[in-house]
Amino acid sequence: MSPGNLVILALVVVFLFMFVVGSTEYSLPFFQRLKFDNVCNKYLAIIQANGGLSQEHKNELTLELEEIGFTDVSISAPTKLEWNTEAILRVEASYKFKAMKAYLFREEKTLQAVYENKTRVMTLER
Amino acid sequence: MGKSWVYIGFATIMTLIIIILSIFLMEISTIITLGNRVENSLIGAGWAGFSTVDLDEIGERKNIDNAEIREIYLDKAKANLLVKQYIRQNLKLDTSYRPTNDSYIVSRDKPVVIDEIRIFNPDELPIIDGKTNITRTTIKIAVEIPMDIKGLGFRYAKKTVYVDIDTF
Repeated sequence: MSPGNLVILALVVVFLFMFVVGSTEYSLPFFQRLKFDNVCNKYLAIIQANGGLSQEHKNELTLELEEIGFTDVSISAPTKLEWNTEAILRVEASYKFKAMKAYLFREEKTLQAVYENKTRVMTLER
Repeated sequence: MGKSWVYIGFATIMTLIIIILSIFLMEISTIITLGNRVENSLIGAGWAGFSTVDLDEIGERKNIDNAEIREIYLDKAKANLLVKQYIRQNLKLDTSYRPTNDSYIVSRDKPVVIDEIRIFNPDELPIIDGKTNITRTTIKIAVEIPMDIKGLGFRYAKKTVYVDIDTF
């Protein structure tokens, strides 16, 4: 293989490597978003069953989100609602991650995740 | 010179394959995330339907005080309307079921299609719906979500959830 071919091969390999790394890094926040939504929906289930979120539940939700890498968690939820009342859970959080910029530099980006869903309270015992 | 062109051709093909695969990976990630968000919104809407408990029907049955074996009957007409209302609110759709600017559904030209909202009360159970075995009061919600997929264009993605009070 001539030196020219080697240079082409090296450039292609480097480019492909950077492209794959960049694409994978781009996809990672999506999977964090999946976890974020599922954790939040678990607490919507608690609201639906109990009529609201206690301070303890809010702390648990914050902790669970922090454990999967989210920061600046803000929760808006009712504390105690009566049966058949509308309940809204809104959770906002930031997820910081590193990503390739123009396939050359790495920069820190922030994903602002917002969860907001409504349901009605049904506090029948299970 | 001839061999060089073979290398360049091979490298170009490999590069294109990797680029297409990467775009595919990104699109799949987006679709999976959107599907999961829609599923959670539909579950919230389904739970809302459980507030339309048919008290007359439940009152005529025995074991109303026993949480373990008590049968929960829903008012089908009310549940249907309420679930539709909450689907619209949770997905942030307008009155014709098109996603509004606040919606996380990015494709906003076409409406969300509600294929089916079906309530399974205890007197119809057990039943097998498709491949799902239903043994307790359940609300089935089937919708089609509009989405633009790179390389494939516009598509409707089907999403079906079965909601009962023990979903979590």
